[in-house]
Amino acid sequence: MPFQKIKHSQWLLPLLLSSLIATIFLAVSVGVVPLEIKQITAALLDGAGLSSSIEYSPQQAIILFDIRLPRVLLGAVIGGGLGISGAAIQGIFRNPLAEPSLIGVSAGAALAAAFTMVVTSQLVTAHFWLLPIAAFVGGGLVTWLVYQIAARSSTATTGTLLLAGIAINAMAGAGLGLLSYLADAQQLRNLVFWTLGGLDAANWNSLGLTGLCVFAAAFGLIRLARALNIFSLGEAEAGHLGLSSSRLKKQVVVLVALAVGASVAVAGIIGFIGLVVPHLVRLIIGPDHRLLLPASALLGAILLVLADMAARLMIAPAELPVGILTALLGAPFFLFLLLRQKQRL
Amino acid sequence: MLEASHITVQIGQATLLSDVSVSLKPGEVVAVVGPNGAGKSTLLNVLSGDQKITQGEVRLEDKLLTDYSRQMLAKKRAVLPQQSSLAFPFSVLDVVLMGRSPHLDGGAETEKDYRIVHKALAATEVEHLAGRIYTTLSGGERQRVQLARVLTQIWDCSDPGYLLLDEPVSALDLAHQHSMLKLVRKFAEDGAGVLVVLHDLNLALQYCDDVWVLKAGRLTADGKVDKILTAQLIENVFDVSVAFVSPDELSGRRVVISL
Repeated sequence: MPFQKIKHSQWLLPLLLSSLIATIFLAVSVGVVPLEIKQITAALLDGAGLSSSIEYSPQQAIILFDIRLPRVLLGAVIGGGLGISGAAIQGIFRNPLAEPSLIGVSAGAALAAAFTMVVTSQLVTAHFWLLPIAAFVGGGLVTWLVYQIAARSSTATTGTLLLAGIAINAMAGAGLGLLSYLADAQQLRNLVFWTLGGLDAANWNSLGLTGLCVFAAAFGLIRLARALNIFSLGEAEAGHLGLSSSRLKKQVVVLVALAVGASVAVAGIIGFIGLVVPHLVRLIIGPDHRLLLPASALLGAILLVLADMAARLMIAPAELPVGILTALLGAPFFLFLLLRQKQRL
Repeated sequence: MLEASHITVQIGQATLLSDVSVSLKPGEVVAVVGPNGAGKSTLLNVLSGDQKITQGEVRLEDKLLTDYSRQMLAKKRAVLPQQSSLAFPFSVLDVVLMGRSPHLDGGAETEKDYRIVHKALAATEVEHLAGRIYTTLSGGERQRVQLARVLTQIWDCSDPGYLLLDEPVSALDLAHQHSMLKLVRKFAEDGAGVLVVLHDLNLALQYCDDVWVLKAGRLTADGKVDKILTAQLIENVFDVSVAFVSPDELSGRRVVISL
């Protein structure tokens, strides 16, 4: 046997990237008011200062730039953030059934947002930006809490983290329940739509802010890819190989909280993308995080853009919250994985 | 030299080790033997730096173990735990390659790393499994792959490297028990200090220079394996009646049998 090297599936990332671009074009073009691909291209060229000969109406331009493009791009950014976060969280929990919401960041962010919605509803009506900030703070607080638990000792096991996540989710669930009990009819409706998850709040501001957080988190996580590979040998084994497990855990928790907190702030809780996507990628190219992390980001983006497109079209002109759709598809997948894993034991 | 002095380990009310002093020298293979729960793994964990010590200190080349960075330590000593689980379906080659990670300093694997991995795979007789998924292997195959990974870690150590192996042959068939112990023996001859936790006293007699005998957290005896392992000691420590026989074919070597 010559010096056999790990064969990276070099084709995967370019393929996923071009699929993502194609999906974005497709998702922008379909809707109640259809836009042709060449009209989109023309409008984009015009926007970039290059004129073209293809005709499109001002209404179409408004729909493209003010509604559809920010929404589709937001879907890509959030889907990407959830996909890569899922892969990293599964790596750090050494469990392919883990999910970003497991450490409680989604629930913490959602609870803080819901609290703001119900308790300070007048303020929220006047200052719409309060909601995202509250979600950031909630997600950040939970991150800090989990971080403290992880930092408490160098021997903090993933079991501890897992149990902390369960406790935080239970507390947040109780808080959300209490708030729905206290809420009036309109607030309850807002709350429900928040927890269902949807991309209808998309605009260029929310896209910019979320995009910044997700890209920063993704960049940080990809740098940890090799450490995550070694971590899959076990905490003690990784330590023998010179890796600080507790430091790696803290880094992943913070970066995942950044991406997921930013996503929940603008789109509520969108589940199962973080579970399904890394699984699919692992099936195709194996578990090497150096490829798994970027590929999960790209595939997560593609899937959420597609899911949101379906959610917009299914009951048009009304919209289905995309969180319902991802849960409808993701939950059976999760059960399937559970059954399959049980069989193997 | 890897040296532990007056080690006491207490967890809550339980005393896992009390006042144990041992030293592992480069070039020798030391067996750690004793009944279940005697503290063999705890002692190995103390020497690897994984176990918090209540009293005493561990020094590697006269420097406190706690003064080493993880990275520096990883370049000098490798540890094979009793059981290893792999979270994701990496290939055998990937797993063994991870043993080289302390030497990469953030860069990519070089031709030299692949050469070492290749040699380790051949030495542990798992070369033919290189492309297989680790999680689909049998227990004995996994143990040899993990041994290969651990060996790559100190393969080309310029200073003496140290190998701490916790029951490295527990899942192996008879032939592989011997070939793997011969392999670590060779590592010791090339200058490494090797510690093996063993249950089979005959393997200790055949492949080890020294033996540390633990019972209930105390070092009952230590020294040359031929001198220390007597019928009397084995009966005291393990509560089993044994006898030593020395067939002519073994030219003076002794074999222990239970009565």
